[in-house]
Amino acid sequence: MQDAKIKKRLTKSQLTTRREKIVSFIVLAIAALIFVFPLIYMVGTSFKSDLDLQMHPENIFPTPGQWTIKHYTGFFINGDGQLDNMPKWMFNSLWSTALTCGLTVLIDLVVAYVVVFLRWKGKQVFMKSLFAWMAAPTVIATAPGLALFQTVKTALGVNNFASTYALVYFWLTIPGIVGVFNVILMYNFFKTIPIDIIESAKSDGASHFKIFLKIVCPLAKSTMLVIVLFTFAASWNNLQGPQLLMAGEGQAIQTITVALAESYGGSSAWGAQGVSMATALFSLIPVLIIFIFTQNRMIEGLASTGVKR
Amino acid sequence: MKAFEESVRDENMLARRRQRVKEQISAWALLSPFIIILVLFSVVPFVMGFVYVFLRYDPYDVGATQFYGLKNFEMLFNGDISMSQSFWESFGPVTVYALCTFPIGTIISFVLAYFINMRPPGYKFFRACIYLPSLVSISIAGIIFCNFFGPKGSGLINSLFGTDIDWLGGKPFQDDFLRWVIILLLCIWGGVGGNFVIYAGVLNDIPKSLYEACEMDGGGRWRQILHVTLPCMKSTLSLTMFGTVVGMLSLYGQPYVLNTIENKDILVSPMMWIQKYLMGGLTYAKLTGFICAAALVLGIISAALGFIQRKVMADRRPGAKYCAEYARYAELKAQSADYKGGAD
Repeated sequence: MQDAKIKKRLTKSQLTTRREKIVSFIVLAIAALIFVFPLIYMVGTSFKSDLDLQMHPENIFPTPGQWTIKHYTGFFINGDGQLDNMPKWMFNSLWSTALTCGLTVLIDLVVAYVVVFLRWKGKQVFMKSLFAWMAAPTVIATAPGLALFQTVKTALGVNNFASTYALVYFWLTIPGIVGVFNVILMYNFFKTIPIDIIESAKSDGASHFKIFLKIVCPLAKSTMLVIVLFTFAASWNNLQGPQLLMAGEGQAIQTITVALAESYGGSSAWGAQGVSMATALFSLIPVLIIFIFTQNRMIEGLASTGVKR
Repeated sequence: MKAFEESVRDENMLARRRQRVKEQISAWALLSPFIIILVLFSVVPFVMGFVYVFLRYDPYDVGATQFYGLKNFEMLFNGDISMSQSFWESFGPVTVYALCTFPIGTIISFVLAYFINMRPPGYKFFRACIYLPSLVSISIAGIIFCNFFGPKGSGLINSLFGTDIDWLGGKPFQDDFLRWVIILLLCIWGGVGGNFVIYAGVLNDIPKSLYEACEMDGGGRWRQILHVTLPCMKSTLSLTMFGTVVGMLSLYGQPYVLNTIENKDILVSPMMWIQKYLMGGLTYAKLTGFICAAALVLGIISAALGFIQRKVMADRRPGAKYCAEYARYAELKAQSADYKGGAD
């Protein structure tokens, strides 16, 4: 009698679980399709011929036999046979983003190590001021920051392309590497490393540099990855900051995100559908590659930090 | 003998002290690049934000700096000047919009997180699909959505349904309702992913025993959501919700990329106002102090919202307490139920 009861209850809960899985599968499949659809449409449109673009904007993919890669070849070499702006924008974005990521991780590692494993006075004050700084509304600093940039630019007498380029990208990458949030992420991870490991390494005569390089850095790999991923995405997609610094300096200096917003954004996108979609897809590739290879770690990293950026 | 011991102890102490001083120096040396960059590029501009507002400051002509007193604020609060008028007007659309968006966005990300937590087959793939748009830059999203909602003959929606609707046109508070719907769509498309992932993480951490206890009390699915899920998520929900509202005040990218030629220069958010006049270069350089005053006002408003959020959270101590209390209560009830069951 009792056995039958237990069996019945089990099957009931199993049934509920199965029903849950079916319903959630359907709902999520629809949601995923809706969320990805704009990107699929972008891919399809970027391969449409000019005729197709005018006649069939309602089709997701080009008519069979009318696929073209014209929009892609067009933005490497322009009509005059010269290098188009597109590769320049990509290059600007790539190197500045890579530099920002590398320096961010390096600075976060060093700061977190010093705070957690070195003994020095003022540690409490330092951490407290970092936490306080996180709560400060940074919008107050936008206008004065630009004013300072312009003051420095005028004072240095920057007027030709090379020096403007150097100053703009210095101002773009260097302030970006001291994100307090990343430091605190790394600090929280370092606190979970058992101090015994460090102490025993110290008593074996290892220097701090060696401990940092051989013990702490390998342990921090996954936190480093999370920081790199989010710094990469944030830096690549940054629109407001670079837009201010690059205002009125011509197209060659721009990053891909700024250039896309200004050349093909809004009302100007309608004139050149194929090219704008192709350019947009092309600029998405670096982020896409990173996401495809590390998506699970990226998403779990975000979930574990519990704070939206 | 005693003297010898003392001298050894002294030497040890000296060595230890030397070691400590060395560590002190190297710590500050290693921290210095971080501190210097942070102070120069973040703290100094922040502090200057409180200084420039009292000056007439032109970055291209520093010599002409004058003390202005409260003149910049007088200008900002003077509705007769068209620039300050447009600044205050820009709060209107954005507030209405924020009030509409954040419940919708929160509900969608919560529902999706709830379903993803049932772990259907392939949930990792679905999760990636829903998160992916968050990584797409606003420029790309703008290009795609402009092609979706473009005029007849090039826009997907218009040609799909054979309509001729001007989706992106119009002026604030007059006839640009559709444009705001599309800005909302874009915000949800690109903004749901982050909250969704965070909610899914929190949902996953809620102990299964709580749901079982609630089920034993006869609670159905809705009761479980109401009495277990939501109380446990309260702190995360309030954090992300206020974060969204503060983020809405600095709405910039979406209206910047979604426009028609007519409403290209209409400023619909305070952030757009600030950005536009900052990008004006030499033309508005003399007004730096004035723009700084506007940024200061915006910053104070968002700080106030953050302060309210902290107060609300501190007073109620949401989440943990309710959750713990519920757990204790459920446990007791479960025990008494067991006891009764045994007696029968």
